[in-house]
Amino acid sequence: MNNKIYLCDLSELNKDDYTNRWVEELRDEVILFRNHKNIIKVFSSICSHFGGNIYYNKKLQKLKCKWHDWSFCPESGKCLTFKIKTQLRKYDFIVEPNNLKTYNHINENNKIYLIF
Amino acid sequence: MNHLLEVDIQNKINCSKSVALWNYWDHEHLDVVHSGYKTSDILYDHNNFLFRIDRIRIPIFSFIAIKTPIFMVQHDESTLFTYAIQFGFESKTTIKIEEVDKNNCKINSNYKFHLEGWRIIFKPLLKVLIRKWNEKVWLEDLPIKLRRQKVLEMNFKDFVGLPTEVSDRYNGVIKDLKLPIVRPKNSRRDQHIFKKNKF
Repeated sequence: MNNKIYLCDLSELNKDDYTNRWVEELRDEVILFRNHKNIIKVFSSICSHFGGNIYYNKKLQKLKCKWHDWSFCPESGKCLTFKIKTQLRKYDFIVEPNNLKTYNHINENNKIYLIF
Repeated sequence: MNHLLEVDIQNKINCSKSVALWNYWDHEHLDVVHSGYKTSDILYDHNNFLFRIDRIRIPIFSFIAIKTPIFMVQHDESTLFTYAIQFGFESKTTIKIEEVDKNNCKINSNYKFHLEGWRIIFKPLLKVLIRKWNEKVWLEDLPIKLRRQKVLEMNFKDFVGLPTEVSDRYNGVIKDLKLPIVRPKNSRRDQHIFKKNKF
């Protein structure tokens, strides 16, 4: 059986393009964002280069590192700036109720849980 | 008349000496993290020394960007010297990092400016500019050093990331810094014509 950890309410993705959370159970920091199609994504937000903060640049539609400006694919987590083997870890999640993984104003009271 | 302007600034931080040093030798963050840096080109670096040309924005007069040649050398395991022409004046910066314990260190920044002849009139202004520059750069670097300390304590490996197993993300031992810090091929720091065409 999967465990689930509360991350945030969907409404928090309304205020900003993204939000970061420290998840003690996984000893990882994650980023939640909605892409240009309003589909919610969750990745590790610790850059695999030197450990910098990852944020979502909505204009460029890319995940970016605040320390060295590396870019990552918002679908796969692969590094787009340099050829490196590792990528940002993608996390599975559910949205309750209904598990509708697309953001809209109607369901903004829904809650997002990380699944592991 | 020759004159020396000297400014001493002490800071404490909750990170290891190795992390504090790493921050000085991680040149790739300069123009991303610090608003005072417009560009930064490494022309040559080898083990404990480097020659770089930066374009920096002067504090208060941030509309002005000036070219600054910089020579950096890790003199010993605690002392870093930087020789530069900052704001048009010859300068020597000595950074001394003292380990308090494995998670804390003290950093002493000593700035010396050589003010020849008429340049002495800039002494009061330079005093202000140096402190402003130091404070700004310190505040911009602070969260980086704290986070770097945290990820290394979780056994983070550069260019790899955190260990796959959550149980391995504890009790990381922070190793002494090895210079130079590895940069990827075609790093933005290595784009100067003198760097691309070595001979």
